[in-house]
Amino acid sequence: MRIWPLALTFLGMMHGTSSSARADDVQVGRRHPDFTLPRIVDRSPVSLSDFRGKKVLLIQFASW
Amino acid sequence: MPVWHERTKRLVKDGRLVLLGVTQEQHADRCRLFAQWKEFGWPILHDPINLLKSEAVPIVRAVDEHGIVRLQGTRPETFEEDFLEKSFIDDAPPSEVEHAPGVPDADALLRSAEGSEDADAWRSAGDALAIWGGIGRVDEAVEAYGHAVEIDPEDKYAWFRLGVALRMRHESPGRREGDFQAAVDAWSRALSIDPNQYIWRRRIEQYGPRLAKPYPFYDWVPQARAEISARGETPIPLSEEPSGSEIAAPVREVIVEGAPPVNPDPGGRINRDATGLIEAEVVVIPPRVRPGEAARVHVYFRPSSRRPAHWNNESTPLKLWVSTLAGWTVDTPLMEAEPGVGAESGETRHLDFEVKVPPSASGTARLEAFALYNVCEQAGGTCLFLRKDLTIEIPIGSEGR
Repeated sequence: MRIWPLALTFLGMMHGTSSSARADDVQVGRRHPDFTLPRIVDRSPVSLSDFRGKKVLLIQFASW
Repeated sequence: MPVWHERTKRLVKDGRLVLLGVTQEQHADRCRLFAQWKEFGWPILHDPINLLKSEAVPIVRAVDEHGIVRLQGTRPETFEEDFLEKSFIDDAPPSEVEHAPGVPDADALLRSAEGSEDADAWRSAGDALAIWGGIGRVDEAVEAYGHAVEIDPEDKYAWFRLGVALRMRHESPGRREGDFQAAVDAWSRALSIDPNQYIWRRRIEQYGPRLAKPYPFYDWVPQARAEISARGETPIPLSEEPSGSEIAAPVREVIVEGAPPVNPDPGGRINRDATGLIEAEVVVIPPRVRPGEAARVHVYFRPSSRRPAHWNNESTPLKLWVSTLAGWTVDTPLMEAEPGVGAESGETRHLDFEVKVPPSASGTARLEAFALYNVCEQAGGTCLFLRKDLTIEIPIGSEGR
């Protein structure tokens, strides 16, 4: 996977700040909106809230 | 993500951290292959429609035990100190934007959208159908998103997701002529409303001209397969093999490589496929090309669905010849498709090439092309060598609508 310059700029802007990809939806210090999506291996549903009580590193990416 | 994977392996194993991936790409199986290659053992979720509304990837967020975002764009070097070693209290109000957890009831969402003029309701129904309904409900997803954009033509999310559903259908046995072009049109429409959505832009670039590419998207696939096989494992099979523009390297200029190819039927003497044993479909990306810029032209060939026709694989392969207009550049005027498996086969064949539009061009340009192929009228029946003439229309103007 590659990080293209625009994304680098974007991440640079985000680092250490409370801005976000969707400032109205996700902000540092606010609860992350819950979501449910299928796992790529077997399409079984997984929600972010399934991990409540644990520390989570949420990584959005693409293989390209 | 390999950096994070290596960095957090021990923490995940010790139960101190959950690594949760979300892939923002059209094909889940490509990400599966990537994860197999890199030996990611953590759960990865598929968000082809960009339900999370992210503008770009990668995005890394640290979410604490209470579901509160503590870091964004965090760095591997400082992550443990800044997040893992800290204790957090539940000091945030409930989220104002709640996605209902669990699998949505697509039928209930459809019922509530039926007869309504509520674009959100139709989009939500489309989301449930596109993500959870499988290919069996993709028609309904297309229809639901279609209602959403009809009610609210400025609903950029519905436009993007309509494109995703159309591309899904294009790759399915239920494909309809025009699905791929309609997908590109829908993605372009979404981008024209919000040009800062880089995930949407990547979806077009994946199939678009090399001049507009940031990098080759899926060129890692052969290396991944070789290394997985070398480990004694079987690489995850891909439903849709990346090819053409999806693996081509970016260029600054359209380059015609090698000696000029020779028109394989200059006199037009090969018999025409008058009964339409093979059907052709052309997709131009972007749908409107600016003067001086490039387009990627995809051409799909498939045996007629109305006739029991089959490719004949025991003779010369499918060829596509594209005539260049004065001042235009076609990077591959003569192309050849891979033959199918076995003596006869019925698969869709795909060729794509790049065309550079001269700065002076305007209106709609028409490129003349033809395909030569061996086709059998039916399995075990008479096989013929035929020609199909195509006129490839390239609308010139500003991108998008």
